[in-house]
Amino acid sequence: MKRLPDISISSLPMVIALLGAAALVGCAAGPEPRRPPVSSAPAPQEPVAVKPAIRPVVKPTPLPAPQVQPPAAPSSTVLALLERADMRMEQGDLAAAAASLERALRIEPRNPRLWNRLARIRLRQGNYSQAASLAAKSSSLAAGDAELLADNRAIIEQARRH
Amino acid sequence: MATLRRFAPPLLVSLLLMFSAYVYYLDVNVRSQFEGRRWAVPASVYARPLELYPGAALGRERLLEELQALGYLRSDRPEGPGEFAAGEGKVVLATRSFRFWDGPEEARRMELRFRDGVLQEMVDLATGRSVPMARLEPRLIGKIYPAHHEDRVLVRLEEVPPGLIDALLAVEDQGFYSHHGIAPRSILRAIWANLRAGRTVQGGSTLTQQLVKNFYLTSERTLWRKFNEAIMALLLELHYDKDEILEAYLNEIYLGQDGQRSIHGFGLAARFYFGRPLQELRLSQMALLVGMVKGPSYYDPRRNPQRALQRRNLVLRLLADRGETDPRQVQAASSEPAGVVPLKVGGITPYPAFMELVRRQLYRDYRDDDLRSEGMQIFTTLDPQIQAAAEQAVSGRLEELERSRGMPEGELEGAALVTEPSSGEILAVVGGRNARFAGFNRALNAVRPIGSLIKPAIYLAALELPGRYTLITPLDDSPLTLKWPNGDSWSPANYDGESHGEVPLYLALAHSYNLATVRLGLQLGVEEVLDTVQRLGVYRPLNSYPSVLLGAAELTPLEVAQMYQTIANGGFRSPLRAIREVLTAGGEPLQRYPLDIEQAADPGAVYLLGRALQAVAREGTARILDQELGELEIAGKTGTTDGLRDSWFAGFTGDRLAVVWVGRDDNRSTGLSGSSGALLVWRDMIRSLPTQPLQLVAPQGVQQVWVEPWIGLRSREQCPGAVWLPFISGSEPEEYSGCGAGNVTEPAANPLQRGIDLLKGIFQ
Repeated sequence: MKRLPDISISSLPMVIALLGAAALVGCAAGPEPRRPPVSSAPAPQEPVAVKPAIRPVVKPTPLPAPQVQPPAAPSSTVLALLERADMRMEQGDLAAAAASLERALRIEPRNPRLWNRLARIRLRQGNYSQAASLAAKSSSLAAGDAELLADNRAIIEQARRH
Repeated sequence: MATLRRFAPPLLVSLLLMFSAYVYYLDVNVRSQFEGRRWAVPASVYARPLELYPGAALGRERLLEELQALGYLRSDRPEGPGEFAAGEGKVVLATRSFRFWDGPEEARRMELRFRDGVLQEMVDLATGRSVPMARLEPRLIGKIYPAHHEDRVLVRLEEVPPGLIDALLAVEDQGFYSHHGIAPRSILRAIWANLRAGRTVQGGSTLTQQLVKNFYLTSERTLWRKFNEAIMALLLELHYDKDEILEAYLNEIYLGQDGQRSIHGFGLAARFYFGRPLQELRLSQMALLVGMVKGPSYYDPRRNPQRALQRRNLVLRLLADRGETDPRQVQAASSEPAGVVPLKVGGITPYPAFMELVRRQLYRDYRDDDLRSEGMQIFTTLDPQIQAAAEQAVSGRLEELERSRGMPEGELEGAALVTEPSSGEILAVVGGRNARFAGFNRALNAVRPIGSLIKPAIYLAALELPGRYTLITPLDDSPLTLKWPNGDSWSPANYDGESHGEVPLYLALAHSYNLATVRLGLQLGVEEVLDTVQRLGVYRPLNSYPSVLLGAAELTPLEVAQMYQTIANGGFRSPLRAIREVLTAGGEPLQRYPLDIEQAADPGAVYLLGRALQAVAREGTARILDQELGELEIAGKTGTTDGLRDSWFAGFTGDRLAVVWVGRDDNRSTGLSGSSGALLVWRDMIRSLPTQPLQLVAPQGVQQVWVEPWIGLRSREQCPGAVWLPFISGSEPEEYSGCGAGNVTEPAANPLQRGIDLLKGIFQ
């Protein structure tokens, strides 16, 4: 299986996910149910005991809360698409600008700034319900980025007034 | 005599009048057809274009596979569009230009470098600069044909290589640019030659006459038709110039048959016989096509290769005789093989299941007649490489299951859908084991009970009430019986026939405990649960019986995919889409189907649900995924229905959502649960795709803490049984368990003891 490191996502959520994963597995010493879980009976059974051995055990220090930092710099491809979107917007071709952003989102679907930009475009197009939804989507990925959260709130506010 | 003198002039006059009227009638006919819409051109349906950018999960082999599918030619020095050279860890590529929705993609020469299945770098060979992104032209995956199944790819005269026109004129009409539509001398010459030979060896028709014959007339061979043909040819030449007539000829001429579909014009013939655009044909290939004009079936290079080659070489000789082409070039062309590509099986489309979805979406917005005749270009979301992986996983695994379980061959059926979670784009649709066969499309049309696949909706409805439910709320898994006023009763049971006492909420979902789930659903209210199902995007009306809580609800795999799409997208519903854009034949944008999202559930609650679904794949009913694909952090849910009739799995990684159904068309038992059937298909499929791990992002307002789920108390990392779990802020437990209080470092200082605790936990 071929996979690439996700270069654009802030490393912190990943660390948190890993922490959580490691916690759930590495500390599975609690009273586990005695029976195999439902509907797994006919499945090829593997010895459960190998689990801790294959998983990279990360020893995390528990963090008080997911303090997510603003996303890492987007890739050059996404930057080029953002540039193109800006150019189209200046030309007044909002549909083309949106298309460029959608293309960028296909590459970095978890980049909250891209969702925010798309929300801004929908707002300018007068598509208020989409603007609000997209801003909410951006916020759901932007925990810790106060500036972006504030801008998304502003978009939602503006969309509501219409 | 006198009568003759008296009647002849008026007779002549009236004959002349009638003749003029007839010519006028033909003239109107000729002009209206030539100027109006000349051809009904089928709509072309394209797959997604392959996006090239540094960092793309695209290995060299996958790129080469795509290039082959697009008819690119291997060449030592790729110069012209449509050529490439493959080196160690790199590919040099001359792309073709293509007009997309958001503008043209220019042709360019690039060097692409790969490492570890990732496209590392792209350099433009003309400028030496790195290229941030490029798109290959999309694969054509199907067409929507006019009723008479005429197919063509229109070409403009300036796009036609001069060599083809020279060869055509050399063979079919040497005097094309000087005659007026008919060439009496060549007719006489033809008659003389035919008389001498005693059979038809030569035709005297000009290109104009041939065009008229193809364009306006039936194929019967009568003098009357010959007469009409001559008049109409003259009329055509009167109104239009040579280039217009030649262009019409190049697009109209009949050049072959593929089942019901008739191949018209050189543009389509180039693709049909050589798999390449007309502009990229070699001289020998052009000559072969020109040779076929005389008899497309007689000189068919696939059925009669020898004959086609002889005819081609005759064309090349005639071309050399004209003296406008380099004789050495002609000589070289004569010794080349035919270079014909194998006929594609399936004819109309290799992806009937996906095409049905495309049609469904198109017919909401377009008239059938326009789709069949206006030459629209439809850009879809299909990813042919993912489609291939999905088809292979379904057919391969079902075969394997039948073999290993001693079932009769062909008893199992299956369906699969793959989508991109954040956009709702549908990447692959498999409607059955034989994906080439346009039969019953189970992915779209098989309505089946979904079993435990409904459970995430119940748990989501609960988690949206953080004051009442958290991931560790104990759920009662003891037996229950529901009684109805009419005396009927219902006693659900767990899959293993046991009850498990009080179970933390997320583990009840991970292990798919039925009793705990039914009790939870009844606490919430069946109506509330069905409302959540609907919010997730399922609009089929469902009966609000308690049995719906255990998946008596019947849905299609497509509807299930929609439901899980909303979960995978963090609670934002995106209608599943198969089409991105529609363009006119000329490349003008007609319609775009933009990304469309709507918030359907609280992102915090969906995040908690996502974490619980990850526990399904790590320690629950789908834990088989943990052994090989553990690093993907998959979230998913198994589903099994009464009597093992339906086996389901729905799950997602960071960038793929896939739903698999396995069952039988006669609705009998398969002997398979969700984890012993559909899950294995799902795993095979994901294993063979490049995909990214699922990294759920906790939204604002979610707090993560160490807890001991079985006792519902806060804990510390070092404590046995402590788990790092998310809570909607304010709903996390406050009271600590006894473990580690005030003594944080001690247990961690003894890794051996920790390991023993771990093992104890596992074998308990």
